[in-house]
Amino acid sequence: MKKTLFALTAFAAALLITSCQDGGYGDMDHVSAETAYGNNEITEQNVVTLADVEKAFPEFNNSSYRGCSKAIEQDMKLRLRVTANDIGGNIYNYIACEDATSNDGKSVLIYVYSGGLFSYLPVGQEILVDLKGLSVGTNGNQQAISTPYMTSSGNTYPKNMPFWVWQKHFRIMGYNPEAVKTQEFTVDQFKNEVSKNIANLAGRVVTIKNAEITDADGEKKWAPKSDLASTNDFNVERAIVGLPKSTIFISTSTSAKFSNDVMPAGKVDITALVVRYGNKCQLTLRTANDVKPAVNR
Amino acid sequence: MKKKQTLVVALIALGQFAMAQKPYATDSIESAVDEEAQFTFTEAQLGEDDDMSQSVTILNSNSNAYASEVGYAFSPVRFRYRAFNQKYNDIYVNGMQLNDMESGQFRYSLVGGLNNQTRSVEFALPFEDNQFSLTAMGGSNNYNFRAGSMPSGHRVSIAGANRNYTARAMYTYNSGFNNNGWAFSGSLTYRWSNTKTAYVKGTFYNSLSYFFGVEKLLGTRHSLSFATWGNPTERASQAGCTDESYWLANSNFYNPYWGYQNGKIRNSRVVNDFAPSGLFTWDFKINDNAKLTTTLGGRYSMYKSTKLNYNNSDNPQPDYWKRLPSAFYDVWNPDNPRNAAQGTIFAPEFGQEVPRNWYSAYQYLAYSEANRQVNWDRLYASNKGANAAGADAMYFVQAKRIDVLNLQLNSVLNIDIDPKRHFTAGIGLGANNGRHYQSMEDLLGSSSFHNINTYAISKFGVNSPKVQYDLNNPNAVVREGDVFGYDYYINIHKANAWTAYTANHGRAHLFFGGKLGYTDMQRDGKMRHGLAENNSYGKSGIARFLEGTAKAAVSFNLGKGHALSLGGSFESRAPQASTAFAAPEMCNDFVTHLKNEMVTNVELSYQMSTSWLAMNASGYYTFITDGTEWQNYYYDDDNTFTYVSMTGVHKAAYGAELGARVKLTSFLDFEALGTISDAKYLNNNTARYMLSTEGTYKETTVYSKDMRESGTPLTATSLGLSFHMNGWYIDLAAKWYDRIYLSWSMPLRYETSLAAQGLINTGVDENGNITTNVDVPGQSLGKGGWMVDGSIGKNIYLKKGSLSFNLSLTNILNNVKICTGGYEQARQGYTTNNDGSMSGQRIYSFYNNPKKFYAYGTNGMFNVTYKF
Repeated sequence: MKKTLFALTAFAAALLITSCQDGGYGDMDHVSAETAYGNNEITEQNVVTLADVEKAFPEFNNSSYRGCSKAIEQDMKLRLRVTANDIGGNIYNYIACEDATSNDGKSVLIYVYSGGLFSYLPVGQEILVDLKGLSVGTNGNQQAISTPYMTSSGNTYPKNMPFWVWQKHFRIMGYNPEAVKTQEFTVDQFKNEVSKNIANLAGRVVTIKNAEITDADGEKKWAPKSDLASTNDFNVERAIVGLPKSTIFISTSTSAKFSNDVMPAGKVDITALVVRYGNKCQLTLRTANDVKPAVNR
Repeated sequence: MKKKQTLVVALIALGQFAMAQKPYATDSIESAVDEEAQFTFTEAQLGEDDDMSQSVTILNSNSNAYASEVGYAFSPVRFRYRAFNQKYNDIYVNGMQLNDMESGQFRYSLVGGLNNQTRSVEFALPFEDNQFSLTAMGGSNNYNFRAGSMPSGHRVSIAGANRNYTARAMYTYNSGFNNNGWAFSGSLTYRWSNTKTAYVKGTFYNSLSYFFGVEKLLGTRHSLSFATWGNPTERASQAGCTDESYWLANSNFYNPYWGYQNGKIRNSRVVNDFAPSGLFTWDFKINDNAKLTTTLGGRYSMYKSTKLNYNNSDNPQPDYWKRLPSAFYDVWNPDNPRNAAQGTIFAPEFGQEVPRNWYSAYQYLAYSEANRQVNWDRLYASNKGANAAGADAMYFVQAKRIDVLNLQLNSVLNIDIDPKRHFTAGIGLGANNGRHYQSMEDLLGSSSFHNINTYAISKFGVNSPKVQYDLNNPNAVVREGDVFGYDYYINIHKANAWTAYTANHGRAHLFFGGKLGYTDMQRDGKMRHGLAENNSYGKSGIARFLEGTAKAAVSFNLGKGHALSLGGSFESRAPQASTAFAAPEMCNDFVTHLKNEMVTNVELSYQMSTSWLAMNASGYYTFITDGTEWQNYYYDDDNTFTYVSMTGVHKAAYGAELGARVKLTSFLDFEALGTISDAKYLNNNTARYMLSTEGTYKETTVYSKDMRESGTPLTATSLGLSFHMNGWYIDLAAKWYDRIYLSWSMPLRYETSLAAQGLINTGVDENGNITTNVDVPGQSLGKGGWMVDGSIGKNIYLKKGSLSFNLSLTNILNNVKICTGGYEQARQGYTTNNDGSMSGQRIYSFYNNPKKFYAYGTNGMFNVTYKF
């Protein structure tokens, strides 16, 4: 019996010192977007501007309706500042950035085949983008950076950059939200700018002051499925009073988090990303908070 | 976990104190050494992983050469007897049924580690009688947990393995009855592996099993026994992956569930499982010919299974389809013009130009283990970023939890009417109270999460009450440990009475049995779901079902060792509660047209038994109608999670089985086993599914006809030699497995989906009749193959006690290409317009990329046992 008790005691002791294996992974305070995302080996050498890239690659010229360069072989980098991301679910698999080097407001879309970009690319985040190995081009004259992609309808332009390719090609730099300045327009000014110089607006975040959404009656929502114009649409287009709907409209995805929020009626200030498609100006809200009651009614 | 272990050790210590009285030894019933191997093998590899859709059948027989071996012999590929759902295989302890009342299935983990207790078992094949129940269609087993029935003495064993666990230690002490009529039994088992030693990297196993039993003889006619046991287990899971992922990882055991966090392996899927059980048994020997056994028992099981989930982002699982090379290059159709757009790049390892994006994906995943695993750093970093932006946690670890209180009372009367006739009757009462809920385990550094249906926000707006998971507590903040998403009970009551009669008449042995039963079930919701405001909180209606079984068999002794048996049964069986509710995580609705399943089963067997040969050959046919099935999927066509039910399912299972044991010499046997079978759906059905983002139902025809039962080989054979001499046991067997179907996906075969792809075409035949041609995708198959298993053992009798060694080896030829099961992905290969019609084809093909599991390569266990 002594032996038995000894064996049992030893066995019990062995069990008691055996702890749960799940847990105890330590704190993660040291983790940040800078340490977890991107490629910190990218250096600020050969930094160029978007205008420089436009000169170097005809496919990236905003006069090109649709095109895609081959993978860039030169050592070229861009320092960009994020102006719009996917936080509201209205922007899908891309971000918009302005040139942080030139500060001329020139902007571009970067397509990444991944969601949740806003968590490490908030508005105001400056990034260094290594263009070597990526492609630049246009779709509907909208300039974009990504990798070549052919849609099921046969169009090729920069889109759907694999997640890991993106991770290899960017570096998180400083966070500077104050530097993001949206260009402000009245309704008439915006109408004129679109008709005269839509290329200058493409990819930029703008604010249209004192505007009124045509359909906003205090009940209508941004983008319910029932308001889709056709079966192959996924965005609902909303006109702005005083602007031609055929070329300027607020485009909201039915997948946006606020797609079933009621549109604010009356005079509002609308901040939106301009996504160009030919001569059309698709105003894309980042979140529902981009539309606020007008400050100067 | 530690608390559980402390409790258990204290309990066992208490048991030992009670056993301080000197027991008198009785002869213990020694088991063959290779039996140890069977237990260890089975427990290490099978039936414990609820995350895998399939499990094995517990089957044994003393008389049937096929049934006696097949359960163990084919267990490496998760063989199920006759491809039956495991709900047709009943497992009892002292007459109390252990099958889960909701699913009907037995979870092996309930008796995991209790090798020495489950060794004493009464078993019966479908048309055999037994002394504890009316035998189920897939066989019945009754473990004897009476302390006085355990072989007396001490038993210590230590084992090392390269399977799910790497080390095991067991100690068992059984006193036998002492002079005062007391018998005690106690046992402890500990099984262990860590994330680096387990067969599949990133998994671990940490399990303590305990057993304590006591029995008291009260005079010569009564005995009271009590047994309590449990198996607190913490283990990490392995994922099924596509062949593409296995290829990239250069291993069929690639497991994307884990990743490094601060240098330690962290698995996102950890199961904690503990079901403390106990029972009292009263055995009453009424007279020499009659015995009444009554058992009152219960268990409280706590099951928790974690999972990494996400919100407002992509699935972070590293083998998510968007990250795989074939998402960027149509490998199934290299001529796809979309392949050319990305351009090519020279790949030195392939010696040729390859598609640029495909190659970058290949390089990313093939050359870095870290890239193939969960990147916990990114999840934490994103959560910090999301919080800074005022958003809820983007990534989090949640847990599916099921807590079940089960109580049962069973009583069985056995009467030997005369030497040729036996009568058995029993009653059973059971209640099952199962709580199903979801809890937040780890917010991964985030400080914010809310109990709202984020998937429905885009449909209804964030301020809509429809997006609330619990309108009684709207916008509730969810912290770690809090319940969110769903919380409901399923309450079940069961009652049954059964009887069986056997008689020998001349050369005939007759068996008749019947059973009547009652089942009711009800859901009791604890959250008022926004999409089922008036139909989710509180109790549902009660669904009531009457059940019945009639069974008969006759065996003819044809003389000279030949016997022929014919059996038939008909069963009207209540649907399982696990399939009876349309969308239990959302509402109280029962599945429509819910009714009893009708099961007809016939079997013809021939048996030959001579001094040199034991052989059985059987043919069977099983016909099931009005079955109910339920599954949940992510459904692309509606971009939402769906709960799908089918009623009126008709199935058939049929096949032939052969088992033979040939005595070649006094020390060498040749054994052959084989089955060729089919088990398939006989009809197309109506699938009714609820969208988790709408709370409404949709219906469509699902082309289920000719789909096969999955996760078990429908063809399996084994040829082996068994050597036994002078205490040595050596077994070697070569096995062939084939026709292993994968679990088929309903959405891939929805009429609406097939129509959207143009796979349903109407025409006119030569007689002017309208014809409809439906091109239903074939069911995915896993690859079979040869597997060689063996074991060697030796019993050594010492002055005091005996020592035995056993080495069991499985898959000696290291054939890691045998698929043991898996499932088709439910997502579609096409994209849809907003009305569900097809808008285009994806590059990635879900249909061609089913998720699979493969048989472990060469693996073994070395075990040393000392009995004294």
